[in-house]
Amino acid sequence: MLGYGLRQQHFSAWLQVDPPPWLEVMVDDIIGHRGGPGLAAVGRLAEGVPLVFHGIGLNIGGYVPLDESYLRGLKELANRFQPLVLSDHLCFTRTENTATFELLPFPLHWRYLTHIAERVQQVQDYLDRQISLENISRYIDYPQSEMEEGSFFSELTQITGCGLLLDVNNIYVNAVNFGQNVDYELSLYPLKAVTQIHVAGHSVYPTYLFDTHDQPVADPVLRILEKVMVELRETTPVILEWDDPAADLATVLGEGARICQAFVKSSGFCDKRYQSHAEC
Amino acid sequence: MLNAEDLMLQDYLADYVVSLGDPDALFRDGGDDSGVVSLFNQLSRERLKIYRQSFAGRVFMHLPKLALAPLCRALGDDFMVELTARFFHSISPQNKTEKPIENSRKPQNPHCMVSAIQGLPDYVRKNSPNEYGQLIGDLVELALLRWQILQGPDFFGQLQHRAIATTKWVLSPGHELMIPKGSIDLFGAWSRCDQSSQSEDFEKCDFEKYINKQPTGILLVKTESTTVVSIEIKETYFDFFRSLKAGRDLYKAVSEMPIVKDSKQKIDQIDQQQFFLFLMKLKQMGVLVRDSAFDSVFSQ
Repeated sequence: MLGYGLRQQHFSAWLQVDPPPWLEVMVDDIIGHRGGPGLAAVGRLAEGVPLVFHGIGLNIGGYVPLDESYLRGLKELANRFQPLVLSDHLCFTRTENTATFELLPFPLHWRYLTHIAERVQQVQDYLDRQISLENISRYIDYPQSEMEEGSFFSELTQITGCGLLLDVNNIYVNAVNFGQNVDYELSLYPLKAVTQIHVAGHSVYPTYLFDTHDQPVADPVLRILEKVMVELRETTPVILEWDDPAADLATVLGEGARICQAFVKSSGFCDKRYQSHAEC
Repeated sequence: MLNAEDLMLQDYLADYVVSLGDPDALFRDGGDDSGVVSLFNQLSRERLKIYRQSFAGRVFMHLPKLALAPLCRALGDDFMVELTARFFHSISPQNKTEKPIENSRKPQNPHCMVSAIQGLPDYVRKNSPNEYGQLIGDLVELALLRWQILQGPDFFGQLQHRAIATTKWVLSPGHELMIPKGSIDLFGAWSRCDQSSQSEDFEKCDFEKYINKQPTGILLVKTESTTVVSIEIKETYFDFFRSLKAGRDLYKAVSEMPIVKDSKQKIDQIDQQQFFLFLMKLKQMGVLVRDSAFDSVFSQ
């Protein structure tokens, strides 16, 4: 089944269509809000749709202490809406003096593994629930890295019990950008720890792919999704991310239906788990 | 545990992404004998630029777009994106030409951008000390005030409001303080008087500085703390409040209010700023609450 990322411009539109299997709320859209249209929309949607929460502000890989007010906001939202999955990214976003608002990679070595495992435990203890981390799209590679990202996740999920939000588009983008073998890279990720899937489109530039979320999902990415899905439970949320601000909801739903159709056609399955709430 | 080299690498990458001008200038001067600069210089410059190129767009994407939406319509998306991106550059300590406006306003994470962007009006005025810059600064401030109203505590429909049993409250349309003689009944339907309240419980709210010398509308409100206040309303906004009384959604009413952008309308704009402050105060007091059942009873 296919769910969708909830975007601000579609708040009203989602209230007027059949509820999808899941909606993913960007927590940074509503964290700290005491009212207003975002919180109101999420509240109404939560009455009929299971929600998953996705953030970009945790800074789990950063060296500065975790932001207490941010964690407090997360906890308030999690307690109020009880999302199935609460996730952020395996990256850093800010330093002591600079906020980048980017999902920046760090060298994948053992010191970072220890550092992040401690912070994940800290967050899970505070929230009193599991969190999941997403594999990001990467455009630089550090010579100091000691392991592949999949191996890093494998260790991290074992140590902390955190989940993996597997972005299959990022798997593909990174493999192309760094000349890696997709199948090998995918094999390193701990699929048993996957709590959620992201699928999205990317833009093609002469020397690299860029994770823009505003293009149709590429066929190779759908092939990765297909491989992953046979390993997962039916209840694992799969979320289509579509971040083109000009796209109306019908466009997003149309892409969801296209993904489902392509999926059914290539897999040979006609199983309800591969159906979107849009017509497949 | 991370070591000093790990921390410096994070600093270098973050600074590279957000710095203005030639980012490599940050790493040419030498003076760093830790070898971290050398490590950083091994990273692909072509790939690093991907992060730099998306910085301005990402900053704007994470901002509450609605906050600046009226100005995007009036002044153009590109203008607002550039203005916002330059502002966030300016509060980066790596920008040596601009002193940070306030350290406390550094956007430490995306959700803090809402508060961080409160420094944008001052930034515009400071960097464009002409009439045009002052006007843009005022407009930005106006847009942010509106955003605060829209995102602030919304008492409409909350349990806290609904949980109050209506039997606890007695309508007193004949109460002498309800509608002062000669004033216009804008909010009579919202007024609540606790039967046990005594005259000393009534308190006049001090909004004089926001209101014209000759008020023509009075709002009497029963707040959660059982205090009844009277608030004077300018005639300019009668239609606005009438529409609320008629059931219009506050969010729509505020979000659809135009923000004047003509310098000739400067007076109106200042007036609008005072009005937004006034609305914020009303929301904080829990005044902007509607109760249709209450309306119907009162109208009888």
